[in-house]
Amino acid sequence: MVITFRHVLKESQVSLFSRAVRSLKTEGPRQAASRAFNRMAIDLDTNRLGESLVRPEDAVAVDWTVPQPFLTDPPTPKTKNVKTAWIISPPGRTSGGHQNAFRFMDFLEKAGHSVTVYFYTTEQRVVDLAAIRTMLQSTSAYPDLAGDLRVYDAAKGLDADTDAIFATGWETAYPAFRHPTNARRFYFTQDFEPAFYASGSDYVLAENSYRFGFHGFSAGRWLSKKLTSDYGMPGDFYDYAVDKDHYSLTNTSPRNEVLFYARPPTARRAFEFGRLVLTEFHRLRPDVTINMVGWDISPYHVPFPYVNHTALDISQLNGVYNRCAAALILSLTNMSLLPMEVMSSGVVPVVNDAPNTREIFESPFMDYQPLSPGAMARRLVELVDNPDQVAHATEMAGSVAKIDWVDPGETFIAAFEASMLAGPTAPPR
Amino acid sequence: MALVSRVLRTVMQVPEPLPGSVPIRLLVKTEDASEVDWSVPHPAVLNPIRLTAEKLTIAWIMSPPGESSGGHQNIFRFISVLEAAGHTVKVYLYSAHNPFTVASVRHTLVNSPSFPKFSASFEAHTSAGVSADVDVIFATGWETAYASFRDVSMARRFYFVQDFEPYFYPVGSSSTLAENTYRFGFTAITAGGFLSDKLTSEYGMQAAHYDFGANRDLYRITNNERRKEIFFYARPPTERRGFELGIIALALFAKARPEYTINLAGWNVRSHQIPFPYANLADLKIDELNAVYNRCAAGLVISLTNMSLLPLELLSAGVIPVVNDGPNNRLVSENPFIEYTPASPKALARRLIEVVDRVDLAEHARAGSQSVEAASWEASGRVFLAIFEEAIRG
Repeated sequence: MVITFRHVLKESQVSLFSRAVRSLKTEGPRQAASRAFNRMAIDLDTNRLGESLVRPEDAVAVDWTVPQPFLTDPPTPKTKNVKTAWIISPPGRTSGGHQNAFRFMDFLEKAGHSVTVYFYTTEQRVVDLAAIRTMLQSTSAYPDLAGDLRVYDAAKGLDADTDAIFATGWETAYPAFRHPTNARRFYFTQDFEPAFYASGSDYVLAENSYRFGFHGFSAGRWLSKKLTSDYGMPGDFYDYAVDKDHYSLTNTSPRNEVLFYARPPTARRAFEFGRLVLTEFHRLRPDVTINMVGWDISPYHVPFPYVNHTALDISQLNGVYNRCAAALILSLTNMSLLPMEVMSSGVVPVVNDAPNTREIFESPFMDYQPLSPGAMARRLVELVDNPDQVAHATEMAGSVAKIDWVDPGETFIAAFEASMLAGPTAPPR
Repeated sequence: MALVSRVLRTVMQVPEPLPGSVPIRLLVKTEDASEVDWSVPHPAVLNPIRLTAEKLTIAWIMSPPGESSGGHQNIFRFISVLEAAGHTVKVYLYSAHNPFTVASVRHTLVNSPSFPKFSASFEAHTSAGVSADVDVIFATGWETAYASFRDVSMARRFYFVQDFEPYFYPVGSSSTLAENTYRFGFTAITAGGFLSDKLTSEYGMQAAHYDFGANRDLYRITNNERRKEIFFYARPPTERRGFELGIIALALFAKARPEYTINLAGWNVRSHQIPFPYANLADLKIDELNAVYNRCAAGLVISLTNMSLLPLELLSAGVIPVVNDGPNNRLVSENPFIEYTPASPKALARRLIEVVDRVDLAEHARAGSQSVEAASWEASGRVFLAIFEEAIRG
């Protein structure tokens, strides 16, 4: 059975479409697909149907209302030389989500387990394994995995002797569910993905994946807590860690610039909202330089002057951060790493006040503000004008430098082996 | 470093957008979104005026209505209730992008059988706000709450909420701007208990609700025979109706019960690939629905935000509704004849099969129809007026 949903492209969308095709070349289809979707949503002020990330036959076959053998008849506990299979969408060079997943696969290999990676996609294009291998080897952002890389083939499925299956993006939970053996099921969750969609079929299909009975490993405590309290999904989490080598305080003079983490195609970073805040900020303080980091903003209409840094290399960020007194960082689902990183560089993060930001990282230096453009703009002005700005920045950067970040790899391996030993926990029905 | 930033500052200017660049379009006017600072309460909310006059002048701010807009039809249902109670209504049309003319909008509504009789005046909303004689302002869609908040008028603020609109968007700027309207301090009157519950518990709003009605004149049993068809409320462009999810479930039903005709109504689905035979009824007129309903044993209705009116209307016509389970639907109606089912395609298909296979189906359908006999819009109107009067005079 094939269900496809048509896009009727209007002329005005063609430039967006070709832009989406361009980004497909650099970033991999998963990111590009969500980008094209979001751009169209912004442009048309309407929510168009996109092609779902999950294969329709997988969505039909999975009936999570019926308990599965991997829960009712689990395998004998095994904690050594575990053969794991990871199902993931094909990676892009700059995809942070993929980089992080591969980092955790590497932790498994280093702990004596084995990893086989299966690339799952609804894209019609053939997945070019050789190109992916070359890409992975050419960048330090990815570790060197010993494990096999394969294209997921529904006819063959996963290796029959797989001990543990890891789903990653929500759509990969469907083929993970369908695997016929009682291998343990894990879910490497990095964000609350239903929120990437309007309430609709994709939202529901993504949300239902939390009801499959998998054991979660979440990026941060907010996500783990949400999945357990809202869906009864058992799981562990690892804390974020800041790379102290890249972010540090180098400028101890008063600063008269601000920063905005601007990613227009990523709806959860609320670019349009930030633009409203900064419009008001610029009206109040036209003398203060506004820096935008994270994306090339030139195609977007912005009604105030700003410095367009685009997506900077990690080595250039600290220089920009150290010119800024405050940074506006909006996270509407799982929080970004940026608030902690800019704090290391002496920049006060102005962050939207919500459980998803408060529960990740507790620090008195996080400046939580209500999502009112006027209130956020006023706060930015206060921070720039703060006579104790330098002392505050020094104290803040020191507080981050002092933290002994727990190694996420150790947390992960300990939790994984404990769960392999304890066996699955059935979710409430 | 200092030199670099000095150079940057001198070359910095408002950049000319590139040709074909991406405009930022929100449902709300940008200036309204920017100017509203709800962290500072509006004086009309902080110190609500006391209204003593018997007859009030009530402004409703809304987007320009289309004839087939169910949301607008419901707004005018309650506007006519207010007019029947002796109040004067002034409609202000608000739109950030879509051009309209007041005369043609009014003409469409006055001549449409889908809208009740009303005598409200119509005008375009401008930055001048509502007229000085207005005692009460009702906001409707989320973007109109911004227009109401920016208005310097001391009129009492109400919010006629028909759905949880942040859910219409992926989490982002639009969803945030929509969500923030629940923090404006307005008094909400909502369509059903799910919304009033949510707005009270999550946003601290003062909120009360009226229940849904089902028009007995339009929807009633005319066929007591065994029915060999089913119904799906299919609206592909409306995300919250879960079109793809429904089609996936119906594909399973079609395979198991090929002798049943599957009716798809609500939208012309001709341009979609649907993997089973079906009757494409497209957008039916209100007086054509009952005949279709009376051919159907079961109806699949997916509502992912606030519940649709359909389940009660189907029941009234003797169709057993299969509805996705969730507080958004259960808190609107706990009617025992609604078959709440987990939103798993196989579970939905199994439940549809169970319903059509019932040996006592005709009897069950009659009981279902009787169960909604008391749910009338007249009753909803009375509840609405009581809530309004209590909030104004209480």
